[in-house]
Amino acid sequence: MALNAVFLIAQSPVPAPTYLALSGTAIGSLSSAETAMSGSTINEYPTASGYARQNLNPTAATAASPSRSWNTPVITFGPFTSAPGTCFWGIACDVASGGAAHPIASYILGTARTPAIGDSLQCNAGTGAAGVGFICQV
Amino acid sequence: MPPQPPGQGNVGDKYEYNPPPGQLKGMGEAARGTALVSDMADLDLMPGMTVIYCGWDIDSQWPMIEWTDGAGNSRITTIHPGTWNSSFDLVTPLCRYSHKAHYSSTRSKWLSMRYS
Repeated sequence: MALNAVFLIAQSPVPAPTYLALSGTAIGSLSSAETAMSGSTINEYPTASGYARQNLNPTAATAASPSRSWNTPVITFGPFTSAPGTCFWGIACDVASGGAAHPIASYILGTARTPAIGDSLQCNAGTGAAGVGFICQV
Repeated sequence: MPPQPPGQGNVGDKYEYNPPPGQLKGMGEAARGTALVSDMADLDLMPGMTVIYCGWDIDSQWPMIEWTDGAGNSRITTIHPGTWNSSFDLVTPLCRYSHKAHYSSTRSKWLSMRYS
């Protein structure tokens, strides 16, 4: 049930919404020591672009070993009104906007994406299967 | 939480996206200046769509709206303040009171109704 705690699904300290951010940090350069979304290696997409963090709506963690949690809805960003750059990561965090939010987990995208102006960026709903949606396991 | 930037509405209010006359395009299409491919057009914010003002981004101060696109996806988007002022019309102000009612099946009457 550790995933239920870190994704704020269960009371530890209290259930709350979680959000998915996008990061342009190159693979290998994102520090696991970051404690805030303002951290120097987070490099979140600029919000003056149509981008905003999206509701993650993670599932309750499975009890099986490994325990897993994933996004329930399709997640869609944009449309982008200016080019936001290339994203390599999704980062779960605990506040809808601002650098004070705390990172919870990071997800490497299967393929880096570079949305153009006018585009939307979409991720499938998770199913619990590897490679579908944003899935975290411990 | 920093103070709300000026010129934005009340959280929860509904707005309709109505770009200026002659700009009969989705917001993404207008930003690009050319037509979007069909799958992107389905995901665009189109004229006449209703959105909910859900706050402002702390970093950019841009208004944030929650809306459902043509494919049925609920999402949040930041809006350029100039576009917010020129292209979003207030539809329904948020009801300024809330009520909480408790119904007793045994006594068949409302036990309390509270307005704040």
